[in-house]
Amino acid sequence: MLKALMLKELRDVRGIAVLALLIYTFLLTYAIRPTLWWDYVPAARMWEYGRPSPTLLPFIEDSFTPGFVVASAVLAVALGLWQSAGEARRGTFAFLLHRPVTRRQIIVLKLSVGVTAYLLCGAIPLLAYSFWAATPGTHAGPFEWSMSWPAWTRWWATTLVYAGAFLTGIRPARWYGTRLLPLIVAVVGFAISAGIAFEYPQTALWVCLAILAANIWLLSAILFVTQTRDFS
Amino acid sequence: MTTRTNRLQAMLMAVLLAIGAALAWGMVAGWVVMIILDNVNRSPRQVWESVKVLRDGTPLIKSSSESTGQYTSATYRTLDGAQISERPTGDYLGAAILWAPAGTTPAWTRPSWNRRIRQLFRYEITTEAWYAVHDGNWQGHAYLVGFDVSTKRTIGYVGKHGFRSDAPPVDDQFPVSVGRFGYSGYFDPGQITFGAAYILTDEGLMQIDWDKRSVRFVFQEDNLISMATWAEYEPDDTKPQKLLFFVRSSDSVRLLDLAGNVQEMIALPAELRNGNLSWAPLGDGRTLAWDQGPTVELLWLDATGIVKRQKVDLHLQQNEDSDRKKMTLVSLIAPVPVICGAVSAIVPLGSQTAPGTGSPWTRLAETVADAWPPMLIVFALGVVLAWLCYRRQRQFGMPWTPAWVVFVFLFGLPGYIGYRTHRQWPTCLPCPSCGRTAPRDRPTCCHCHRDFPAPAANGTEVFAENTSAI
Repeated sequence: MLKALMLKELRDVRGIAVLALLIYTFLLTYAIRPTLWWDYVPAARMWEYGRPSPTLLPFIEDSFTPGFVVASAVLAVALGLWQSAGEARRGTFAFLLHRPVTRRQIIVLKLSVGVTAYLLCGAIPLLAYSFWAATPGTHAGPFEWSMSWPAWTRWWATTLVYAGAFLTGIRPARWYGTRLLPLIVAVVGFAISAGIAFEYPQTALWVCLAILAANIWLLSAILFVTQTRDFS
Repeated sequence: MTTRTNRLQAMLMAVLLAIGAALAWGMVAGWVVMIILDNVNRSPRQVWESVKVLRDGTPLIKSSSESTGQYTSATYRTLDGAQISERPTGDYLGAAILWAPAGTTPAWTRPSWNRRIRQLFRYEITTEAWYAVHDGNWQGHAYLVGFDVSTKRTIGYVGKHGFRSDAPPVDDQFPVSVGRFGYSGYFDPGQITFGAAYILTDEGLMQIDWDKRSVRFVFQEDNLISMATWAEYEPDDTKPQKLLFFVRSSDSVRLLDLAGNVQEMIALPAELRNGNLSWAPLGDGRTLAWDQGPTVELLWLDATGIVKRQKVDLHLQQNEDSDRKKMTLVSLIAPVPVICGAVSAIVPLGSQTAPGTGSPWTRLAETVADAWPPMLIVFALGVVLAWLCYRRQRQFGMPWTPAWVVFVFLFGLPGYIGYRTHRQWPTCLPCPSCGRTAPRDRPTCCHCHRDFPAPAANGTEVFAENTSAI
């Protein structure tokens, strides 16, 4: 049963995962070959004020990292809401919760599949970009692997946004009322942790641990809502 | 899940929602307050003055004012207060800025990479990209590395012993603290003058000649604090004739030529040794110097010491908001008793007080005496909401009443929103036994503790027990 539920969740998230990989691929190619679109897609010239300049300092002054962070946050929100509010919208919660497994198991499985899919989809382009930057002759600037730590910290911090979106989707409240409050907390927490890790890189490990603690807190809230909500 | 775990989860959920409500309220209220303040407060908010020196050595005071981002034109007056008209730019004698010793940071901090790398812009060379890279340690080292823009390959490195093809070891790198790395007047290899960069390391003033690909010491001395380049012009010629340097140590300022020879040395009096210095050589062996601050003392110096001194009060009419106004703004943006209490206590206790203004505790008492009305409103709101919470807890017969009441009082309006919305509240109906309104999520009344009567049978009930009789 759990295996079947897992496969069901994977089918549910594959659309967002494919979209994420497409977006990351675009960001990656734009960072590595910014003139690719300029040369082959004439419409791209309308977006630019001039010929794009090449990436000189990956992870420090580049076009990939800001785009990656914004895209990851948006995709995390979409994934969290799709897995929680999407079930309610499709009316499938009642069928799901009548399976011979506990509510807690169902929700934990959803979260596990969602966060694993998100982390994998985000890690692939980050690794690809890091290896490109570490290869000599790819950009006219210095590179050390520690330059990528803030990006990895932000990749991990985006799990807060995913958990906040999931909690927002599963709470039985009005959208114009208090339903979005967990997402607001998650987004602000993500912004603060990402900023601290960027300004004080020696605190990256502590920031990651704090994010883990915050994720546990959000998980506790999600399980509380799961146990107390009337899904009928 | 145990009952205690469930209650703890409920509390955590309420805290989460309270934080969200506080953030949402703060963002909206802050935005509204900023709009109102920008539109209401149109009077000049800030006036600041600075010292300017004419070529004949006469100091003037320049006044500029700013109101909601709009800068007005500057006015000039003499030290006696007489207003004078603005002079052409060429009439003014520039002053070199010699920065104060760089501050210290805790040993455990390490700057981010965007502070450890400086790109050097050499606009005449477009085929090379050069960077200064620091190791991030407080008393650390730096080196330069260059890349070919077209092939993207490394073309060379620069250490303190010169240009080289491989990365320099630590003992060949420039010793420079990270606090001075990349800043003008310290280690700034991006400032190119006549094809060379002049940088201040912990071991002295060095020249990096990009054309000759050489590095040399201009002036070797440990613990120099800051430097400034100085170009001497002919009166009717805009082309500089000589390039000179001012280097500042802990007790003196020296004027050096390109060969590192000391042309002039002036001892720094004690009152000029700590702050940022403005240094204007008057050309007759004297220098006019002053420390930048609200009360400026102009010192005329020569090789023998202080020749003349004159104090000048620079008007800094920055509209200081009163404690009451500040606390009102805090109360509007964050109507949370614990935040208001913390702001009113921490700010005066943690602030540096000027001599003669009393201890931080005195400052705290003054802040409370001035800002008590908005604080009272916030705390009163907290009390009212805590009472509403207590009443609801009694109405629904809920546990942990003291914890919830304290939570709502401390976190005020956001706390009450978190309390009310953290769960779905059961329906309340009058109890048939005692008549009081009681929640119907349990079998007994929470007031009289009697069982609620079963609903009247209507013939459609399905009974699960006693199936063996069928």
